[in-house]
Amino acid sequence: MPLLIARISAETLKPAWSTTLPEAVHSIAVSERQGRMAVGLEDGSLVFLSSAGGDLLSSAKAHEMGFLSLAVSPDRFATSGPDGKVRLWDETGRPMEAIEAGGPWVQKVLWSPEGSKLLIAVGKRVRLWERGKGWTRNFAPQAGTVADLQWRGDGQRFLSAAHGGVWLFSVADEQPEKKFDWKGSPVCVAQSPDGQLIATGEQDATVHLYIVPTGEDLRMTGYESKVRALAWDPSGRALATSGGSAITVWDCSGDGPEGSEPARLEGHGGLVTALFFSVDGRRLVSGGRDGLVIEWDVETGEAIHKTMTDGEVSVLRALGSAGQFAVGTKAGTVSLLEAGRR
Amino acid sequence: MADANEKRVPVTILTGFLGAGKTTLLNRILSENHGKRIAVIENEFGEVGIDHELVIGADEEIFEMNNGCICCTVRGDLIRVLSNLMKRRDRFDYILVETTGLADPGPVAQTFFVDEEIGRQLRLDAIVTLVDARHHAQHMRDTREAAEQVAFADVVVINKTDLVNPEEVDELERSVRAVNPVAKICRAQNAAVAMDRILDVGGFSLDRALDINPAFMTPEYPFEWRGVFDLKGGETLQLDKGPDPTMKIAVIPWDEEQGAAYGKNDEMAARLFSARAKRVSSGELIKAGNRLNLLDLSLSGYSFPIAVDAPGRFGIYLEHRPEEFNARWSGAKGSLLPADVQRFSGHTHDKEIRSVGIEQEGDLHPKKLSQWLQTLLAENGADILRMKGVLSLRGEDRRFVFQGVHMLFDGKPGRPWGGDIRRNSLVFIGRNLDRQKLNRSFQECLS
Repeated sequence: MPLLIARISAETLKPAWSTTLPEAVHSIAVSERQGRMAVGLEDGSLVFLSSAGGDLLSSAKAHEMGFLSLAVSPDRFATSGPDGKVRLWDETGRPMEAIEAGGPWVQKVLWSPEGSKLLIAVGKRVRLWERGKGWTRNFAPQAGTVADLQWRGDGQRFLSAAHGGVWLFSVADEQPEKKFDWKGSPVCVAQSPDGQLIATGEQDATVHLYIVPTGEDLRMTGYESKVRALAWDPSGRALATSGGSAITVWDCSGDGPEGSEPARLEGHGGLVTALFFSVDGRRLVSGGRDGLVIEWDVETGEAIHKTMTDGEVSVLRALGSAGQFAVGTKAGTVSLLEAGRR
Repeated sequence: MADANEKRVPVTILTGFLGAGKTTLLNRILSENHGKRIAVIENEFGEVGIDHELVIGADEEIFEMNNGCICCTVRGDLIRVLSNLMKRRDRFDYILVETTGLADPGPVAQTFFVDEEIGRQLRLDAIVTLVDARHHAQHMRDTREAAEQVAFADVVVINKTDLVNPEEVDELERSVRAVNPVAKICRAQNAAVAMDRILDVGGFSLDRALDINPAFMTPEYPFEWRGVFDLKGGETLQLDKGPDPTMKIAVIPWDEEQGAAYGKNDEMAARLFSARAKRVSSGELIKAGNRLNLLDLSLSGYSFPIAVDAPGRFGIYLEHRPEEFNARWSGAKGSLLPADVQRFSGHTHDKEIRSVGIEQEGDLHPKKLSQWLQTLLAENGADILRMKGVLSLRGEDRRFVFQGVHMLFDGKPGRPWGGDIRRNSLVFIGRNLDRQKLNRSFQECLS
């Protein structure tokens, strides 16, 4: 596999802080109000760090057999694991209730934007749990285990991606409002900011794109491996995807990516595992199995900053809008970096 | 490479029909004092009752992987569950994947070839298939999956042997062998099997692929039974009405020199069986020598005198099993017993799973071989369930070993040939495999 070094010698970002934890980092969620971040570890424990200095505030065993999902609302955290449980934590990291999800594999938890509703994907089914009410709805099961969820708009609708396609549900109805069927197995789902396009990264090394208004769908191929990270730029023009050591960026403006040649950002020496766009859409940050975190100029495709971490990058999480972001690695390190200016 | 391989956690796939004893075996493995940290991935409809903290449920999500020109099916749920397990630092030492009773092991096995994340951290050790001694023959007749599970297996455990008589177990073992001649077979009662027979057996290991020996594969013969008799002439074969209206029989002089081990006598009989048969009615002579006799068994109660040119030792080959016709041999002094008996697996039909072994000395032309393999996998990939081989490539001083599932395969250089005779040994297990065509086309790859 050719390894292309970024065209300019990028500067290195110095982390504001770095904290090493005893297990590989699975996920990170940030409570802006409390200035703390929750870090899910692969052994099923949950650790709280201060966002300002990376100080270890508390640590608890959240799940048996590993960690599957971490979600944050304005004043709560929720976690899930393969032990069939969902746990809630207050914004300071104190454990609250434990919810039996009704099945062993709880792939995903997701708070509605205002924080009253919690979507829980357990096995092939999504269930709705509401604060003060408990379970309020069981949605129709899909063909396979639900892999990913995303709220759509105001918290009244959501997307559920599972083996066999993406279903659009309204929280008011058990049956899906719309089905986007495809005989594939998705890893992740991400819709464009205007909701008109729904992309899934697939196990079979493709990206599937559903065009909501027309009901058409596109299949984008050419990836080295399964596509595990997707990111839309805030304008909805560019869809960055990773399914190999290069980042493939599709231009989804105008007539869409059909027939177009995507841009390829090459600089990682291993699979790209995480991606996000800066709030202004001018920077794309990527993390890879090679341990590198690269900040790209979206306009020119140049790598502006490159930082080597101590292990495979497993998660990138933006903090606020000032360009700060947290990096978690398989070596168990969480670092806070700041996307720089040129 | 070898070091990196050793770090990968081994995975055993456990298949078998409902009631074959998978749960009992799992419980045995988990309660055995082996010091291993084992995780079990159980199918959604698993037979309940596994008392173990590390049991994870998974349901069969089979999807098609379109990988360039290769199309194969894999298990999406396994990818998800296994990759989650392997992210932890305190890894498991061993993973067992239990499949549903009627599962096709193909997608499970292919998952380990196709998904890079899985392949990087886990190695498929073996497919272990449990069969119920009482019901397996029935399952083989009624379902496609029973034979497939046996065909895919590296180890076949014939369980519940205490519930049938030993002859039935022998018979079952022969039918297992007929489908899969390379699997290791063990017999068990109440799923009691030594752990080293089923865990870490290296069924998919290229280093251990050298063990295969197609010579030990029984060729497919047009007869099911052979008895070696000392005949003077005038002996009689008596039969009752059986399942077939005719039976071919050949009586050929037994050549001890040629050696039973090399099967020369059997090959000779096989050639004779493809010749034109002489119809023989009850009371008429079965003639020894270069004649194929076709016994007419359309009525009932038969007696055939046997004629030989000179007294001596003869091999008598029967198209069907003698017990199906209640065959009785008698001589001047009454009942006659064979000095030796050999049973052969029944001849199979094209739709059935069979194995084809290729054993040829000489060096292969790499380009021709690669062309041959590509064509073969393109045409027969869907029908080839398992394949293994040790090859001698021209100009290479090491063996080349390969193994695969359907059209996916994996190969690497193995042990140096040194002074050994350079020979190619391959085994294919699958459907619609044409033994002669395979052998002929393979021969064309020899340089």
